[in-house]
Amino acid sequence: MGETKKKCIKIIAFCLIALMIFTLVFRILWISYSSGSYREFYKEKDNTANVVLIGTSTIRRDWISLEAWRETGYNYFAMCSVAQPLPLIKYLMIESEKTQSPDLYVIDLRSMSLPGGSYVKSGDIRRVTDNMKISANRKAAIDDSLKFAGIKTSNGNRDYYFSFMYYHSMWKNISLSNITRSSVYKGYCLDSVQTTSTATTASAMGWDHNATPTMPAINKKYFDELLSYINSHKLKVLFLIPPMQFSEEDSGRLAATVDYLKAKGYNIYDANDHYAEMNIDFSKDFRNVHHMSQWGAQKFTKVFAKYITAHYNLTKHVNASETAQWNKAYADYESALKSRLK
Amino acid sequence: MSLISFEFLIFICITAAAYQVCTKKYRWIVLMFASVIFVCCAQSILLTLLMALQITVTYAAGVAIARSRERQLIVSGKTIMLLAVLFNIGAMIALKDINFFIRPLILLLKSCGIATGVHVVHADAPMGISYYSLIMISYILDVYWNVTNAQKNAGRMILFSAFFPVLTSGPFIRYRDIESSMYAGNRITYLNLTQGLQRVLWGMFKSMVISGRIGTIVDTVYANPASFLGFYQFIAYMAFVIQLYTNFSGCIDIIMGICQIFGIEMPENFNSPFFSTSIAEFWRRWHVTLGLWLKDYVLYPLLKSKAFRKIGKTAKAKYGKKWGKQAPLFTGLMISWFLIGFWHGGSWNYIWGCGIYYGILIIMGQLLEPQFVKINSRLKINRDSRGWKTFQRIRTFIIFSWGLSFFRSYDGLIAGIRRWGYALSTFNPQIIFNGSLLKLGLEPTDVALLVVSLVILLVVDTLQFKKPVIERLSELSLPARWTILLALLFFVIIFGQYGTAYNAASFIYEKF
Repeated sequence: MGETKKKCIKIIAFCLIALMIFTLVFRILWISYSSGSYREFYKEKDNTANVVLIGTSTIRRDWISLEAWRETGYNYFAMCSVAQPLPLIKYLMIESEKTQSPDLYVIDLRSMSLPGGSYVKSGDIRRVTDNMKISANRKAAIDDSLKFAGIKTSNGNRDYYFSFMYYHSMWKNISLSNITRSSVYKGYCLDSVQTTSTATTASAMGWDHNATPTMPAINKKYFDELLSYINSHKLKVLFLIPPMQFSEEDSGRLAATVDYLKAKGYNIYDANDHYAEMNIDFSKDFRNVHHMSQWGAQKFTKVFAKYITAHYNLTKHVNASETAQWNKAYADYESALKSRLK
Repeated sequence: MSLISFEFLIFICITAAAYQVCTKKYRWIVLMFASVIFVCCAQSILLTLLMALQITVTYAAGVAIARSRERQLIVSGKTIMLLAVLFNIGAMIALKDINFFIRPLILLLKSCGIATGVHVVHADAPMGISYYSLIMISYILDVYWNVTNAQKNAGRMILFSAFFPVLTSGPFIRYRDIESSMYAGNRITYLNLTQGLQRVLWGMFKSMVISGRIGTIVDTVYANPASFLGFYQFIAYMAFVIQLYTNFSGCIDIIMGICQIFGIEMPENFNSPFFSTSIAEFWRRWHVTLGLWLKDYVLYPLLKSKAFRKIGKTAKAKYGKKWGKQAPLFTGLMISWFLIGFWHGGSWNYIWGCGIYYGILIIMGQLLEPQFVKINSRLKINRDSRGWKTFQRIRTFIIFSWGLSFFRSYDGLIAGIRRWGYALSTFNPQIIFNGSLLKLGLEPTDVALLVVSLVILLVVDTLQFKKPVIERLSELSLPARWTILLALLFFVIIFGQYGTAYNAASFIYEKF
């Protein structure tokens, strides 16, 4: 072998080793709030999802795709993070369309009605964009959501594009949980299983339909953009008001959003109107006024999944091997749940 | 464009690629264009034009001096040299240090009750003006002294004067030393590339891992000196020396590494200064190229001048042979040290803390040397013993740190003197052991990391003192070498202070 070839191989080998270590270090240092959901989504085989749900922690806690699969036989996938600023929804749909052609998108209205500016924190954006694969879409998502939040960075958003520039400073916070990642079952993280709950009442939940509707101009702009994208790509969308309590301020914004969407002819499913159907036990089915407990999540998932299959024409496009894979995932989830609840 | 910015990384990659694909003959042109782009991106057009004017004058002066030697001009070479040197000095002072003269003038006029429209000037100076002005002065003098030939190619002159890696923080290059490698168009070789990158990595370790962290301690104490008395001040002074060393030498390592990639040989600017046993030796090892510049272009010409020979003769006649030698030397030294201080910044805290203070110490050291020898022999101290050397090194470090405390006294000379007062106002060595140092702005994890990093620095500097570490590294087996390099790389990646969680690292000497 020539000397030059040897040197080239040495350089490449060194870079590869460095890259491997970098990946490992990045994984450990990354304080990931919602990485499981996105990581699992990217693992899904192309064109296998029937329904993609995009939403906040409410969906993350309340929706169990594997339960819905068992109930209806269709593939559902939830791309969720703790909060999801309005501009990001469009980019998540674009991200989803790269590999999936779902029959339906379910979009959580919880944080979509929140205005920009100080309501949106850097972490809300990071929880989504840090989990997206590097692409032009991700860059656009970062730029747009930072603009929406009014966040100005000193280095041209570089810390968001290359998130290691931010996460490397987390070395002081490393704990065992950074190394041993929790298992994610088709986007549902069992870490969130809590049996403790907050007792509430049916009247305390939901939103005030008489609240004065208010929609900031910037929200209207982003809603227009989102609906324009949905229409131009002929996507089917169902908007969801999740089972939770909305404050008076939130109710006003939600009312305006509902009015706006209804005027445009979009369907909205208000889960708060279906508590009787879900057979909710308000003493144990909510962990707090914003999220359901494991028991509530199972009930909501079943009812909502049935609603979807009854009202939307879902196509069976999963072959036998994928069915087996979903069944195995369900079995794993079930046994993990059992052992956790012991 | 900082040397440790993303933009600079891209800039270097593009420059290196363009440099490598060009033929040998045109490679210097790539570096010249890169330097022009670097300068244009870093400052306004006006400042770039001011810099261009200085380069043009220097270039024209060099050619004119060469021609005057061939008797082709009416004006003498000496006149041209003097005009060009004065122009460069004038430009540097006018653009950077003019307030040094304006402030006392305002005070004087005010004290005389004269109301004038004279104000302190707040103007930007071209980047690296303190560096390239001295570099150009050395070129003019070398051409005048016939030590080097004048550069007749304007493009090559631009490259020499504004070579982008050295423009912001040095080291001071001399045309005669650098000419052969700068225009040679050497290929980027495997050896130069790997060793250059290793040096860059080491520089990043020093500046990004250590400097900023230790700087937190310094900033905490300096921001509120009245609350930190006695040993807190001692610690802050010493911490600042380490901060400045890691910051400046780290920057120089990055610069040297980049130059090595392009096959350009640069003079070393640091030579294990903390192993010095005296202040004079310290300054021969610290900012070496500045010291050499002052020696060659200020001190020696002064000592050879008629005025200084006269001082020598007068002193010899009055005080004897010894003073006949020492009087001009000490006068020259004090002028040189004043200029070193003034070069750092046109204010008295720099003139004292980076100049006169050390000048006085060095002169005192020379004057009192016979007494020191006597005391040592009476106390039966073996001056060659390891223990004595260690004592001398620690003593030198402490003395140096006290002077440098004025460098960090950005609020002026008086504030610096007050800080000395705070340092001497109480005796509280217990703070070193009782955990008080953990309350100086650093979290315990950062303190632990800092200690580890300083140990690494000490080990490497100790090894470097005997033999270049890069050479030692190249003698190791491949797995051992790669393990060390990867460990250092990830040390910098993980613990380096960059990104929004930290303020972007900057180099202290860049502002000169």
